[in-house]
Amino acid sequence: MTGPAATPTPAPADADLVRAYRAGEERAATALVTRHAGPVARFLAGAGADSGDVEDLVQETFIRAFRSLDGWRGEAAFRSWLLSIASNLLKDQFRKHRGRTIVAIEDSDLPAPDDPETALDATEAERILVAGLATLPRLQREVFLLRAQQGMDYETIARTLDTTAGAARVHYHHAVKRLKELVA
Amino acid sequence: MTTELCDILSDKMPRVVRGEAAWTTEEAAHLAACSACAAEWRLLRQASMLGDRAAAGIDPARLAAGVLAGVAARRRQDRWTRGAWVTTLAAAAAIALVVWTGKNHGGPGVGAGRDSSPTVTADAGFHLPLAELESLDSEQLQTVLDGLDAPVGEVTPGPAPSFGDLDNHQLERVLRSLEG
Repeated sequence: MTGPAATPTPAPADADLVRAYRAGEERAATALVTRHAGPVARFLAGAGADSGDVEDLVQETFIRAFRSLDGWRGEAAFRSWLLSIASNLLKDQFRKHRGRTIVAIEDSDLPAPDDPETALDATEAERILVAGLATLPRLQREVFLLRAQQGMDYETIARTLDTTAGAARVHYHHAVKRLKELVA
Repeated sequence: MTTELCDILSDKMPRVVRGEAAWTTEEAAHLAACSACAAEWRLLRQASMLGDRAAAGIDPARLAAGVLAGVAARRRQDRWTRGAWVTTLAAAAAIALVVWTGKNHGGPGVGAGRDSSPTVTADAGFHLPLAELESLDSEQLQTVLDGLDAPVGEVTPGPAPSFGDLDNHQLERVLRSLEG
């Protein structure tokens, strides 16, 4: 007779991992990093971080987060909270460097599709989009990215970027309008 | 021109681009016909792929190790900074105490060098309230002082004094002092 079928263990919630880490379990921190590093990296890269700095910025985001876990009230999703830290970090970095530098995507940074012609089009389109994003005000750029990359609703975006849902909606529509003009 | 359907599509685009929802037939038809919605849809699809390369280049295990090491290093730094502050504050407090004691007891405090008056002496105005000594006469006080002056090695550890060693007069004084 066989035993009961093994049911897959559900992944622990972020709040449980945070509790475990605070109780001294370092594996919980590793699980949180593994779960959220990718989206944080994509947000930072899209928001204009230099490709060579992205990993350092992601690391610094997590260090700041783990050092100030008391600041996470658990109301916002852990990822939203991480992204707000990443956003502030990027803002500090731009301020430190006195204005942001527009980082063009290198050809070597992009995946090579099978069709060279399509690859060229994609590269060009992405380059134009990155350049367009760089011209937007910070809030417009970040609201747009949080919607496009993270799929966040306006309420979550508002909590992440410390603004209102109405303002986030307006920023998004301004960003789309401006990007359409630049990319079209 | 933006229609109500344009707003519905705009709100839904992030979920469709992430594969969490799909277009209905009506929405798909609108998307094919509306240039504004089509342009927004293209933008979102492009933007959703931004940073994929950067994210793929990150090794989570290595990153987690770096994060934990960074947190530990910052904690050590915090402890060191706190320790330095405590040491500085303690040193400042000690210096303040020495200066204050010197001023009040005529020692070499701040301004002592400017004051040429030799009238301040070590015992001027210095009181040590010891109620037990108040009732002793001069002879008894001298005995106590002699005992204090003697080097530790020279003090002969005689038998501990007891009430049996006192005469009637001394016992009377002890009782009076106890009764107040």
